Amino acid sequence: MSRKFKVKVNNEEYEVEVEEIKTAETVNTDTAEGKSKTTQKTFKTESSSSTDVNKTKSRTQPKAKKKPSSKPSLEGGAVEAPMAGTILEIKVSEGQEVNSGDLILVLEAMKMENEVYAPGSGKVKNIKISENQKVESGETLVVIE
Amino acid sequence: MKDKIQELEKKREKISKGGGEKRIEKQHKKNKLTARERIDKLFDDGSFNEIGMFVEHHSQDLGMDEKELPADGVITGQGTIDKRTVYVYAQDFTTMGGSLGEMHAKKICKVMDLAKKSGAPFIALLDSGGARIQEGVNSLKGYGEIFRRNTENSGVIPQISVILGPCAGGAVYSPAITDFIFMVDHTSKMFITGPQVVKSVTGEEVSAEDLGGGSTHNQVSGVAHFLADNEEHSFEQIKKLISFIPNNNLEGAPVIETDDSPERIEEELKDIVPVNPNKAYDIRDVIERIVDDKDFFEVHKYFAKNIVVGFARLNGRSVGIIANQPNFKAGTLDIDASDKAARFIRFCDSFNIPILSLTDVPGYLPGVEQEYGGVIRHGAKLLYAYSEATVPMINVILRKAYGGAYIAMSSGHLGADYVFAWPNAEIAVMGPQGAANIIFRKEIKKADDSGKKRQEKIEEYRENFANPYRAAAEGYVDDIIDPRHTRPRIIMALESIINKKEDRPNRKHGNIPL
Repeated sequence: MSRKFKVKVNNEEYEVEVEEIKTAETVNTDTAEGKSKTTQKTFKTESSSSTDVNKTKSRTQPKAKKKPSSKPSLEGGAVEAPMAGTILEIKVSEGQEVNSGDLILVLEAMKMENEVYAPGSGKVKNIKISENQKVESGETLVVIE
Repeated sequence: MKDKIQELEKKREKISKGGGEKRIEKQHKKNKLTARERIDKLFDDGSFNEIGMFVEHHSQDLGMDEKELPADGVITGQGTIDKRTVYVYAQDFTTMGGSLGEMHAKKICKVMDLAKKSGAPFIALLDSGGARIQEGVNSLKGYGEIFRRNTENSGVIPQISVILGPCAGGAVYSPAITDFIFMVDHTSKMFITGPQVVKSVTGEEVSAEDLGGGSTHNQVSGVAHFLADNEEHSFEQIKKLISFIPNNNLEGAPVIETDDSPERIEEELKDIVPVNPNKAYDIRDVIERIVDDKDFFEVHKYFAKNIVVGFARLNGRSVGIIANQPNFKAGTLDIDASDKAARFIRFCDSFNIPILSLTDVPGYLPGVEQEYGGVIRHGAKLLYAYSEATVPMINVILRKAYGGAYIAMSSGHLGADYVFAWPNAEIAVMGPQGAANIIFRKEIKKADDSGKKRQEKIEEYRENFANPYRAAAEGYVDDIIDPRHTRPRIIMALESIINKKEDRPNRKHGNIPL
């Protein structure tokens, strides 16, 4: 259940949507009366994430991601098959430390030995495939934590 | 008179402050520059001439009669980038959120018309919450008129959109019609409907950054072409792009003299592409060794990585490069790769930029997902774009060129002026394995050791057909060249056809499959 209100602040009109949620689910304790507020200016789309941008020295490289997911953090360490094919060779073993860009495995597809690299650094947590196994495009092959 | 001049200066100063100190500070806190700061950084020092600074809105409804909006929330004008005239508008987020009202749009349309009439590139710096709701349908009219001008100017002057804040709802369609979209990581947001609406309608929870941030549009949707880590970086990218492209469709791109000899023979080229057709490599290593000064400016770098497109120079002349990337998805053509390449080819053709293709393609990517996604429809765009182009076109087949993908990748049949092949090239209707299995099926079946027979037949086919000589014998390949001599051969060919003129029958426009 959410209700809409019009609020005027500094002569600017805001459309405010107030939604009542169950107390058990209340996370935003800092907002008044345990209610989560979704504020939307009638003419603005404010983004909260732009306040704190870390300036990195290296040029921007987007994080590997297939689809925008609602839980991007869980996908961070998954090595996915770039295309359907057969696993030719696995170059890592479980428990091994790998660095971003290390060769993880070779996937044969379209008669090409496609080298698949680690999207990030960490420990190989789980190898979900074996050599000579056929895999689908997008299938999780190896999980790095 | 002195008083009058003073009054003018005072007015200018007031308008220059946009939404006021407080809002400017807020803008800076978000790691964003103001509209005027952006213009200062992008243009040559002191070159900017503002147009319509004193324009005011005349809306009376919903409290608007009491509102003063300096420059109506958008700075418009003309200046120079590397001494070349460019028209620009920059939305001022500090003035009512950069919202687009009737006069705001009118100012934008004015500079768009001036850009077209004077044949100068046009840059939009977008930072706006969207339509100014208080102005109702008049702001919608504003958008519509901008969209129509974007379309009319398309292929006449280069149009560049830079997303430097929110760009939501209908507003996204102006950038979408333009030639290139630049985004800044964590600053730019583009979506038709924001996260809140998405959640209320579909129940999907997604952050603004994940839904429409720079990373998403550069990598997943392919909406944006360039990603920068801050605004200054974005402006560097824009200047670099401008250096490769002409002012309009009647001019050529600037020729930049180089010390890199057009006769340079590159030893390393003979070792980069593995002779074993199953081995991958990075096509950019090849590109960099062919072009002037190793300078390759990649477009759409993070999207559809199985094809690489971008600008470079050969003997000082700007060229657009389209190259298969064996390092990603085996360099196959698929839906996204076709869209990406086709759009780039059409840009180059619109603006008289010759096209160099580097072919190493095993075929179209098979799969249900591709077929259901309409790979026929999308793949057709690539063939259409190459066939339609009238700029000089050169193709070098580095290794594989099989089947439909051979035709699609700038074959002579679609209009390439010169097709070269390296001696290890394999130009055939399909790969040796596939072909041998079909042609010699009966023979292989009958043999005592069918595995051995199959291998024999595959080798036989490879020997006889998977080479460049068959195609060269038919005249489909103009010459088979030493890889080390690729640069001089391409440059010689390019110089010989640089004044190419080709007419097409009169028509309103073709009907490219979309």
